[in-house]
Amino acid sequence: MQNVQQVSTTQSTDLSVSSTKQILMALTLGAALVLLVGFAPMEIVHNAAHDARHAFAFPCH
Amino acid sequence: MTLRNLILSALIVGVISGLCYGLFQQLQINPIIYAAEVYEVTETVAEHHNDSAPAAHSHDHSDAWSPQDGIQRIASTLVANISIAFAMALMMISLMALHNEKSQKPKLNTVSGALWGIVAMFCFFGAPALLGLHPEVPGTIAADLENRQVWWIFCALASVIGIAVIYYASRFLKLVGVVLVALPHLIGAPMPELHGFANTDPAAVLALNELSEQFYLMTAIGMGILFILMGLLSSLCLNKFIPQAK
Repeated sequence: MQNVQQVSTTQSTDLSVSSTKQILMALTLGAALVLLVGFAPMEIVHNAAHDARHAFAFPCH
Repeated sequence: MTLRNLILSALIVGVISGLCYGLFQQLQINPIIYAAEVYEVTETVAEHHNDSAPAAHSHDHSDAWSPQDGIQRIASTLVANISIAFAMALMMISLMALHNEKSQKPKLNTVSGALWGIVAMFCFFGAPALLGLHPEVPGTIAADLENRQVWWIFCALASVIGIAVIYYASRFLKLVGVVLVALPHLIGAPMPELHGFANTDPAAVLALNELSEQFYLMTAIGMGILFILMGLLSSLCLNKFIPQAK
């Protein structure tokens, strides 16, 4: 039991990138993915996501 | 660790809320889309007659892959539902983590999480769609696609930033937030010169009007389910998996 705890604490310390920067990276990733699935003009993406785009009321057509 | 936990949390939230929304869509929204598409076929033909340039959108005449009706279409819609829900959950959890880390305001709990969901619904559905461009069944006449997309993104961004300013900023700056939220609507959503449907047959217009009304209601209910669930689950995951910086 103690061993397990020790392992997890050593892993979670010492970040090389600040947590705020990581949060901002995640935010950017999310925004990029929304743009890709909901807005990208590529026909194949549009066709696959067509019904979902309508249901999210993203502009389509 | 933070980035990994944010992505994993968003996956949990996105898969659950996206699946719930996807199920709701299959049962309540897709029947409306399919019914509207029956009238859409004429539109594509008419469009091609009037316009010699290839249409940007077409189900029938392009070589690009398109899911076949049935299981393929259901599956690809579900994948899209989950992807969008995951992407939105990732943004929501990131902003929640930023709130917990930077703000002096009370930390997130499940109640405020659900409230975040309602605010997100306003920013991503209420403001750009209900108050702006309106949810469209296939075959609705609308303004140029690119203009609408730009306005939609601008409206969602202005709403998010505006509400954040109203909530976090000190007294007088809050006014800037109000202006930001109102700005897209003062500019106005790009609207077609002529409202209606590509199919002008009176029977079709009657049917499409009815379908549009149902579509409004059902997308609104669906978005409510999606965003409130997303807010709730996001706050739960945040408190469980995202280490809070001191």
